[in-house]
Amino acid sequence: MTQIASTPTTPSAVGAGQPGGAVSTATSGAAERRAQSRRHYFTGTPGRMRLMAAIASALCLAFALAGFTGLRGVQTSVDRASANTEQVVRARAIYADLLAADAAVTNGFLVGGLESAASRKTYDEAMARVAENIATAASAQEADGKALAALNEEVQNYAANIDRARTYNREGKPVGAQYLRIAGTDLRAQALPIADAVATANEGRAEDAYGIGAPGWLALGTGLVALGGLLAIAVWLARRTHRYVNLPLTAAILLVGAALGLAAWHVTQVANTLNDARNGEYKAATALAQARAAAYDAKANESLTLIARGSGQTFEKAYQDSSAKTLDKLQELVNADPAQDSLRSRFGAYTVKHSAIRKADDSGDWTGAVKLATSDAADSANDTFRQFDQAASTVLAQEVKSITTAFDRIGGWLLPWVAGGAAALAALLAGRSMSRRIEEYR
Amino acid sequence: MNRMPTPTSPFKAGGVALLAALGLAACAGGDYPDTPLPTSASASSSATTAAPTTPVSCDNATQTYDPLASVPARSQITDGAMSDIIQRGYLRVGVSADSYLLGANNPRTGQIEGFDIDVARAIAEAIFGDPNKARLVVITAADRIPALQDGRVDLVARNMTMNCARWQDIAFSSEYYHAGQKILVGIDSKATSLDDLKGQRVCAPTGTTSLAKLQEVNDQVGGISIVTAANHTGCLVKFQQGEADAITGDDTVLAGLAAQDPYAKVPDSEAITDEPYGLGIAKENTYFVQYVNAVLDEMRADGRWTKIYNTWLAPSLGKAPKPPTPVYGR
Repeated sequence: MTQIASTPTTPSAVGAGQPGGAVSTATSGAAERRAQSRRHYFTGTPGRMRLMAAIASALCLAFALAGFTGLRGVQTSVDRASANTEQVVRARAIYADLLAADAAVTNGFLVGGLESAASRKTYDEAMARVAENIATAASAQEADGKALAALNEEVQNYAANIDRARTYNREGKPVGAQYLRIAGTDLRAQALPIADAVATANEGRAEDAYGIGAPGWLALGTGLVALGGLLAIAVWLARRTHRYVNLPLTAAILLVGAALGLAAWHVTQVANTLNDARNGEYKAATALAQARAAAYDAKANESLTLIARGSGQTFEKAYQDSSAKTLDKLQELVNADPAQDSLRSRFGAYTVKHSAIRKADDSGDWTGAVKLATSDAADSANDTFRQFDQAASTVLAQEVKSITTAFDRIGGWLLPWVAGGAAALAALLAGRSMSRRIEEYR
Repeated sequence: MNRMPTPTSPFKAGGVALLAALGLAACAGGDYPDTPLPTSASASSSATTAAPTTPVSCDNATQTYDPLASVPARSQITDGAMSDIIQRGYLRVGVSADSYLLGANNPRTGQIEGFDIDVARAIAEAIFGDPNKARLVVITAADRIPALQDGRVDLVARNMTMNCARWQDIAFSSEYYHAGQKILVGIDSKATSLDDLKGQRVCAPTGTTSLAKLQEVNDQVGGISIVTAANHTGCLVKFQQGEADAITGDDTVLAGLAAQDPYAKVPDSEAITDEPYGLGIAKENTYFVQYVNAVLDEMRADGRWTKIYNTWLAPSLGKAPKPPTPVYGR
């Protein structure tokens, strides 16, 4: 009783929490009753019922929150996986196109002072794609901004050196070939490592996104706990009141169960799609993108070997390494997507032509080797390489397309709202579930 | 409900929490840390600074085998090594493809041409009656001695300095050109020797006697900042890109560089070193050395040497001097 006296309820304090001004004129008896009800709020049978209702409501609410954020998180994961995959492919395309440009301009140098219109066109187109992809990549991922700015600077340096090389070469001065060598060396030492770093960073980001992530699992876990808790409370209530069905509580259980089922179905579906893509198309796309880059590197080194004219052993070694890497990556592609077996034989057809060039050069017929290496006729080294490259580009586009299509098909943007809403409604119902029974104790 | 004074309604709290969750979900757009740049972004072009070969002191670096009395006809040659060359039908010559004016690829024609090349073609013409029987094999400077030792080439005509250390591994013809180390500077420079280049950046290729001499001079006068490149053309690129103020090397090589850049000149001055060039031949082929020496003697006598010099080097180095005097008796 002293407690009551020591906590006097001033009219203003109570009035703030009470609707209507009539209560502010309440008698001291009414105030006593309120204070008593507050003291006994969670004691005795009605008190326990209130406690249970509060727990049930809190469980539902927790699931509403975890379910909503979790399912949204799953969606974010899918969006990120898709965006990061595209960025990986973009960065690898920059890498491959830089080498494509270098292969074309280097091959053009073999022809003589005046490069062919065709090789000039190949160079220009590849460099245009590089510029476009750097711009797109910079707007697609803010975190890549600094790296891409550095890459852009290196690409400009490369292009400037190539232009100097062309000018001197037209004038017939050997320093032109030196500028070409410097451009190629710097490209590989400075520019390509940056493009590779961008690709690798985005591969890491994509790998992280290729999973449901903690929020998804937390949503399902919370849902299970909520459902279990509600069922236990329902059993407790049935025993206490000898009424088997409490309508609001039962409705809450059904709502939570439905929301949980929906969430579980969605999460499983997304997990499967992500998993399939990671082990299939994503693996295939990244392997093929690397295979293309290595193939271009090999092609550029083939020309450098001939430009060095007898002193090109290091370039031939670089060709061998890149060629082996191409075949390795093509094997990875086949492991991920067995339908793409033909690319290996297409690249193999080119390597046969390369061997013929080497054979001619090694036997002292440099002029003949250059003819073989610069010919654009059907079944020439350039032609077989072009066929490989075109086939590889087509397959790469297909793989990327099938990833984005699969992700687009997932949909379910409404799901977080439906599941979260259902659980919130369940919280409302669970909170009110005991009021009828409590009334009976008054 | 009105009678139950619930202090905080679960629904209000739920609403607040849902809004908070929405905020969380909205923030999850993609806050990645910056993509790291590769750390080793600077690729050193001159990582391997090979120790320059210290010339073994001897007093007969230019001394070679006596020439044959006269250049014999093909049918008269019985020597095994030379018979092999004749049998094959062409002479394999190791040359440079990027030493302008000495041996360099002409991008317009795809042909390698220069002073060294014409000397080699003269040898082929003596043997076969056709200068085109010289088949050129481009080799690096470091590859000159190994190429002779394993028989990949019969002759090396690649601005090769005769010295005692090399005589240990191969043989040389008589001296066919007398080069010396000089400097290349900008067109406005007043410097004429390395001593005048204090406080400036001077480039020399790694692993050459030119670089060793540059370091030696710098040890005496001090204040020269030494820049290196993989080869002389690499030095020219550094000169053009403002990374070097001067280049040092053999006067012939520098003449080739100056001919590619109208803003470079090789000032007229005494050479700081003597670089006698000889044609490299395998050590055991002494008969072929004698044969080549006889051909070189003819070329000196009949004016062909002077003609070749004037074709390639006179525009940059001035009129041909008297050909180097051969030293025989090895």
